[in-house]
Amino acid sequence: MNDYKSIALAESRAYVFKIILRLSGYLAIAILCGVFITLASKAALSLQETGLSFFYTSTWDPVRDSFGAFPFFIGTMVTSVLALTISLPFSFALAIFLGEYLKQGRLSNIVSTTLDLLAGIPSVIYGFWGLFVLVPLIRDFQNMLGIVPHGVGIFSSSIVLALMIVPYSASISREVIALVPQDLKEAAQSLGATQFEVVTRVILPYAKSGIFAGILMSFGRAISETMAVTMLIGNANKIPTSLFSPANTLASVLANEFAEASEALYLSSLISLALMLFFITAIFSFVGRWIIRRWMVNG
Amino acid sequence: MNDKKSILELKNFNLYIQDKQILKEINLPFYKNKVTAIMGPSGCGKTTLIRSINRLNEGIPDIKMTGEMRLYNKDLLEMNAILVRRKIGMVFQRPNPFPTMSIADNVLAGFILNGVRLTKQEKEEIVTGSLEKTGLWDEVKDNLHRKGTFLSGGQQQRLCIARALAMKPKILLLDEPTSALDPKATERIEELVNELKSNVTIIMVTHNMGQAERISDYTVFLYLGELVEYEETATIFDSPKHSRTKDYLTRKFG
Repeated sequence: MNDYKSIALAESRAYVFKIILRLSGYLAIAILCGVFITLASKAALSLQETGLSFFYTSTWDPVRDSFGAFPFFIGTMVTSVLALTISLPFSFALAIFLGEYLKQGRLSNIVSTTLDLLAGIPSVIYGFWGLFVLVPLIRDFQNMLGIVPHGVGIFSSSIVLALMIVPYSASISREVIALVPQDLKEAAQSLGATQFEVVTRVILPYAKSGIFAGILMSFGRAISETMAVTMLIGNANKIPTSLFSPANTLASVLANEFAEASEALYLSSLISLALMLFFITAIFSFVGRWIIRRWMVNG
Repeated sequence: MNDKKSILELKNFNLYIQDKQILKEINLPFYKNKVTAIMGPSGCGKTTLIRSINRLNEGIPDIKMTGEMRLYNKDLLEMNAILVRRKIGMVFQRPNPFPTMSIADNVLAGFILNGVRLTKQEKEEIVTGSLEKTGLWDEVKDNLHRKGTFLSGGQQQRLCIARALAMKPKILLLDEPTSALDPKATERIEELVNELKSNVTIIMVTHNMGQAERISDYTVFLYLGELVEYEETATIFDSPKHSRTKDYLTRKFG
């Protein structure tokens, strides 16, 4: 009798535990849906007033109630693509160096710890560094070229953004490279391949989908980075005409103008921008995951 | 016994990892176009020995090797590791074809990896020849451009042998090549070893005493890093000189 009782107790405990776990899963879904519903309902006003032209109009002038998101979309894409392009060689080299050439030892630990620390620096600090160190340099450079020396702008924010995503994408690529089975590397070595040939002809082809997915995820991160970009991009609400132009990204215009949005339509338009940002980052994250699942080589 | 001509000879070979001696004073000639089986209990240094011949141990930190490995009267340990590996092929315990390459490219992998350019005709000859030697040709000739991963384990292992043979090695090292395979595939690999030895000297590590008895000409028995006995296979299985060898061999009956 006693036995049955204790089993019943244990089972009900296990049951409650399972329920709690399940609830926390549902909670995550609920939060995501909640964010989406809030954004969508608050954005409704702007989408009603402005219609689809919201997405392709290139004027953003709150004073005249003209709201077009296109400059910010372009600003976001240009800044992020440029940042990614600048960061790729470095993150790639770091990932291969740490994943293949320097797998253990003190130097390896020092470099990986440094990367982790770099990834953990708050973006406002990167922003300050950009403003006080990078921007004057860029200004000198622009003077040399004979163009308007804004200093701030797409180029400055892309460089800082690149610095910020290097640790992130290097650590993703490094993990993917570490997944390449040892016996494939040895097979290549036993055929007389040098370490360079092992990297270029065995490791990279094997890891390429994972590396690509890592790039997409880093891109998603670059798109959503707010603080440092807001400080460095120059906050100009127009389509950038050169790499040095001041501009705005979806995230930076939100951070910059939120406090000023007193009218309902203005606020609602900003929330529409937020909804756009929400979708773009979600798409990159989904596609990244999908590629990892779909294209990972099954050894 | 008259056709004994050694192709590779280990002289006073010692190997240490972090001051622990793994192989002790190994003196061992390998004879040309013969199959030599290396046997011994787990941890006796068999795999370490065969991997040193391919210079694959050099990535291990704190490794130290002394003595000589004479390949055609040159010390293999002094040679460039990449040159050594082009002359000495290796097949591993688990079949490891490159999953990113087609079957044909797997056979050509040695050339592709080393950046050797081949004409279309050379490629065809190498692919056909190597696959025929390993008996895979009829099984895969219609799928040469598919990835090798759909093949069975035994076929994959034969593909790995074809990949090693394509480089025309003088010596082929097999590290327990059938330990991950079923009996049928094992039998096929054993037949293959027999067919191949007229062209290449084979050194194989095996846990399977029956396998050593069936296909090897010479057998080496290693115990705790020491060479206990080295004889013609028939002799060592019939009348082992050392009690250690006898104990190990008789376990198969007990």
